[in-house]
Amino acid sequence: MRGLIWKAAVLVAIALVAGYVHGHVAGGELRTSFVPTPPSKAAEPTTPQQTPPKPVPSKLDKTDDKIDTTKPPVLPPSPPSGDTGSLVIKVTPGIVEPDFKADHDDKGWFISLDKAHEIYTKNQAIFVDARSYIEFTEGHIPGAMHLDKKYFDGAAGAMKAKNLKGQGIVIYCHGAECTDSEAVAIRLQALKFDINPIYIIKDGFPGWQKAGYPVDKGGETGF
Amino acid sequence: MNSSVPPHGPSAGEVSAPGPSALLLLLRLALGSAFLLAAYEKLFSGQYASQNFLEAIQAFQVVSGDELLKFGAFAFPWTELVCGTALIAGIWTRAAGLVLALLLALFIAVLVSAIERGMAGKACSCFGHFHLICQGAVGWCKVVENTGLLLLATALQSFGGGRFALSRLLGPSWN
Repeated sequence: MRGLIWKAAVLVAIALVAGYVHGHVAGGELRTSFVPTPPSKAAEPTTPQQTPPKPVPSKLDKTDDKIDTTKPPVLPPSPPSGDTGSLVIKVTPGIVEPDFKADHDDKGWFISLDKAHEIYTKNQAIFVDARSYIEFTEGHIPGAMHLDKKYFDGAAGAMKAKNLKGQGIVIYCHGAECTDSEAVAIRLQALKFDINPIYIIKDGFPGWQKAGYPVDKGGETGF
Repeated sequence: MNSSVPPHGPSAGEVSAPGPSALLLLLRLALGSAFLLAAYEKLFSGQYASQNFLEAIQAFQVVSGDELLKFGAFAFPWTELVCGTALIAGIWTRAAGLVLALLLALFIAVLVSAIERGMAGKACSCFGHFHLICQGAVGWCKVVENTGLLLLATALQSFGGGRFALSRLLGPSWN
């Protein structure tokens, strides 16, 4: 019996040492929660015309009949000369330098529904749906990209994420209890595609729907 | 010289007859392969294999603390890998069976606790993308599946590797 126990202990010790070494080598990449990086300098207030515009796919470019067109597009006003302001605005319609002074709680970049809706209205970021595809087709924020964390088990995640390079994004899933948004945020961050900033809607899609904001149905378009 | 006596005699309680030994060989290979597969899925199946498993552990809400979670994300799969390898090779079969039996008892306790806390239906990540018998969700099917594996591990812990184990060639201390 004693021999059995010490052999078992040796097996466990070998496993723990191997796990410890593996963890030290690869564990630095593991995240227990999403830790946002500060917005890139391009997103911070600058004098006009100093930074090149970040193109954000316009929801109006899509030809899907199901897109909610009840909300007219919001074109940015021309900035007064010499005024840096908090919003760098480009004259080119549909391309707006985002103002990412979001109201967020103390847990990273979780934003309220109101802020998410403001970003949506101003077309300032790409929305990312982290739920299952079936749930996506049953209802999603118009123009959203579907990006379940399972995509990242293969090459599909990185391929889809290329559409987000250099963009700001807003991720959502089932609500406050759902951790899939954070999981997707962690994986997108690890790709180092300069996807910044990354917001997460605290109340998720159920909150968005309950607030009466636009909802689209059907498959993903535009990506 | 009696050719039927193996080079190293069986230790007390260990099976040496060919019939039961063949069954033990099958058990070792089946259980060892299952745990090697589980370990592979949690450690090496993709860039986010360990991240996926860490999130699965987090979802069960039985362990808190970043360092403990990260340690568990590597310690459990490596235990499965080491013991699965030992079973397939037929080295320290009883010890490997004991460790896996204890591990499975822990998994069953966590699963039952999760079900009681209303987490049925959540992803288990027990075998990654593969499903042994049950689908990947937390539920009583998973509890039954793990109980079956626990019985197999207990059998190996009780009867050893049999005559077709590598320990027969290496010596009694490798039983």
